[in-house]
Amino acid sequence: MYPHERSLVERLKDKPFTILGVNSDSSKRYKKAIEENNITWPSFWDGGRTGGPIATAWAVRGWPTIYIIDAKGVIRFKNTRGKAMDEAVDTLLKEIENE
Amino acid sequence: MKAKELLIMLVVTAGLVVAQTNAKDKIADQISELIETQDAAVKKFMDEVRALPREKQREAYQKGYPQFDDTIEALYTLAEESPAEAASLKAISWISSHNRGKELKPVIFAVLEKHHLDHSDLSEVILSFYGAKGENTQAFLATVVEKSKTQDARGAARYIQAIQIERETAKTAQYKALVEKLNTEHADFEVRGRKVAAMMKATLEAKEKLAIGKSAPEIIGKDVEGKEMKLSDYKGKIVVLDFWGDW
Repeated sequence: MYPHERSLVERLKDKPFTILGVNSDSSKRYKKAIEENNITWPSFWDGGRTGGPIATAWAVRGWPTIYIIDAKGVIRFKNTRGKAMDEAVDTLLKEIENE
Repeated sequence: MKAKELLIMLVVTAGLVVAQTNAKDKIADQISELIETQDAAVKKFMDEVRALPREKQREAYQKGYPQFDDTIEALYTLAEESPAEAASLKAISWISSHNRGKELKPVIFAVLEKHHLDHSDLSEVILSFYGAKGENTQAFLATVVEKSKTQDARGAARYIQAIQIERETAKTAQYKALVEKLNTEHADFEVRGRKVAAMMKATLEAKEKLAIGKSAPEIIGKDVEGKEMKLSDYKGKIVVLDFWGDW
């Protein structure tokens, strides 16, 4: 998970793109995870539990859960991982370039 | 009737009642003992696994988890031998919760339908069908919804019917109808202390709001340092929203 996300962030560092996390760990564990895994992208901290307010509002019941949102704020993909995630993001980047 | 005859009759009747009560207790005891023995074996095993170094726990867990098959068979036998006993319900719940998603034997559904359709503990048995999909289970749940006189048993049956199809996209309409029915007829039905009808409805509405093609709802929250953040801060960018945890 982390290495793939790191490489995606690295590859698209000059593009209109971000990973935005919603983290459900305790604050201690979360801070440790950020340090140990070199996580450079921002995250909401959801109160230290899986039933936190953001996860609840988004009806998340399994972790990780991924939503890919386009530049206009529309949900375009759900639970797209690995290579498919790269392709999905590239598709959305092309849409921006073609406008 | 002479006094002596009356006395004999009373004694004989009392003796029969005692014998019946004993047999009843015996079945209940046997069922409890089987369950307690197995549960104790699992607890002992888990304690042993937890005492191992962390990297060895998974392997030990997969390799040595206590077998359930003999206990399940013994409980089946007792339940089949004493179908009308309420203690059989306890045996049946236990089998179903430890049967790795396999549905119960057909004969057990017949027992439940014939002897326990209106029993107040039937809802607990039905909740143990959580992971067991199968034709006989589905037929039994439909029977409970149609015929049981116990409100919570019908609620449990509709709840399990819903849970079993929740992830099947082809049955979305059926799932929605069940959630509606749970909200109109079983709003107070609880699973582990939680009113599930309202929860399922809220989840359903959230999912519809979060479908592909819909505008992402705003998120206003904080980072771990307490600094406020908003999803809309990132408008104009593609966002991979990642619900994650380091576990």
